[in-house]
Amino acid sequence: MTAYGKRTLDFVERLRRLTGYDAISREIRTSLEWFGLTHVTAWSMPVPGRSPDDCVLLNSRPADYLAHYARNNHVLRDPVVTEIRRTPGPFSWRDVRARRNLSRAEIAIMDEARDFDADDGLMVPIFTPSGSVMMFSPCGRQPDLSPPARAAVEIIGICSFQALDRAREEQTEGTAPAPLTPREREIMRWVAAGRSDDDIAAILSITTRTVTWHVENAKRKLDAFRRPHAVFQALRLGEITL
Amino acid sequence: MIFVLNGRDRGAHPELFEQQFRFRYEVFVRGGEWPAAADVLAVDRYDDDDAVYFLDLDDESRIRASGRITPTVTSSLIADCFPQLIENRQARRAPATYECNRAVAWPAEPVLHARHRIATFPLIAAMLEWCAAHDVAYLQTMIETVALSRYLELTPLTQPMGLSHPYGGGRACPGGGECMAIRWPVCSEVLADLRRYAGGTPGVTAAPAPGRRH
Repeated sequence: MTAYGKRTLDFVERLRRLTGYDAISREIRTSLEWFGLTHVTAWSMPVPGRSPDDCVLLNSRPADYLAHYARNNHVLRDPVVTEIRRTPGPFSWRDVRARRNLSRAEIAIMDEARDFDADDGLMVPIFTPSGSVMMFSPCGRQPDLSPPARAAVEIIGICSFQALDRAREEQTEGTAPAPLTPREREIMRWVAAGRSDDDIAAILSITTRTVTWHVENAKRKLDAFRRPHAVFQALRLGEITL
Repeated sequence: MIFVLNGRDRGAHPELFEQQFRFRYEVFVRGGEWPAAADVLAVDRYDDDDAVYFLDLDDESRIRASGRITPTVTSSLIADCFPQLIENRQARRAPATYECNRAVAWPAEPVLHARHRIATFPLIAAMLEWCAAHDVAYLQTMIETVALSRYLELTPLTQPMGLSHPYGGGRACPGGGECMAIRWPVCSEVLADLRRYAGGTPGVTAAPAPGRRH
């Protein structure tokens, strides 16, 4: 067995035995340090209806870097973030520099990370049941991102995401999800009545695209990956009645 | 309803086996242009008497999804062709370990699509129920690495058996990707997770094929 394989499988086994968000996140950070990945973030793209804090599952990047990043709204131009839409599999920051002709502004954003203890990292996309994409993103100074290390970190990332998500669910069990807006409720009532987006758009005198947008927001809030599931959840939570 | 057939039942249910092998050909070889025009069947060397088949049939006995498990002692695709996928010191072949492969669903969907999961997870649930009833300790299989999160979602007791490896030239090549081996311990916790996940899905428990005693 390779050192990478052993590390990864031992990590998965330890993770399986842990309970509680703090213990799990500590184990993840410790395991990644072996690869020179001293910081890690697990997050999803911000979506309507959820606060930015809800989109972050784990974060150990320096607070001053995050404040700087948020203040300058780097998320819109950061080439590592925009690369997510282009590449379905894991990729490193170095890959982005190599495969794209970056603007000076984009290079500056990537270079800034060096001042905060990270010059390379790996982005691991993780596909959730609701259809959204979470990113597991560890980074550090000259980390080991050789092919076997990438394979190891990908599995570590996927298993970590699941463990963190379960721990967070346990923490928030019993708390109510974000309520639907009046418009979302109105549209979900029509969805429950079997109307198509085109029908609903005609009834409400809005565009079909707007209807779809409201339905997708409602699905996210209701943690549903399909419309029938969203209708069921909306009924169960009392958001709509028939 | 999901029906279970043994490889040695081939003579008793020739139409179901033929339909299954044609189904596989359509999904794996042709990429899914149903209905089949040609009389071509996808059969391999693991389709022997010891193989166990799980067929999800609709009301007109048409296959919606199917899968196969084999005893690894005699039939293991991973041991024969992908031994590098197992790094967890476990034997690639063991008397109490079965291997799942050739799991297909119609319409063919990418592994990350919700419909793929809805079609194939009840099959996996039925396979594990069968394993529990036959004193099998582990069920192993090969997956696309990107789908690992799906299987962990099914049960957190899903165990990676090694790192992922590229196939078909890797992710950068059309038709290529990364694959890895996983296994499930056949235990009450895993069965409970699967039943919880598949709640409301009819016919999850494996049942004998029509007209046959299993």
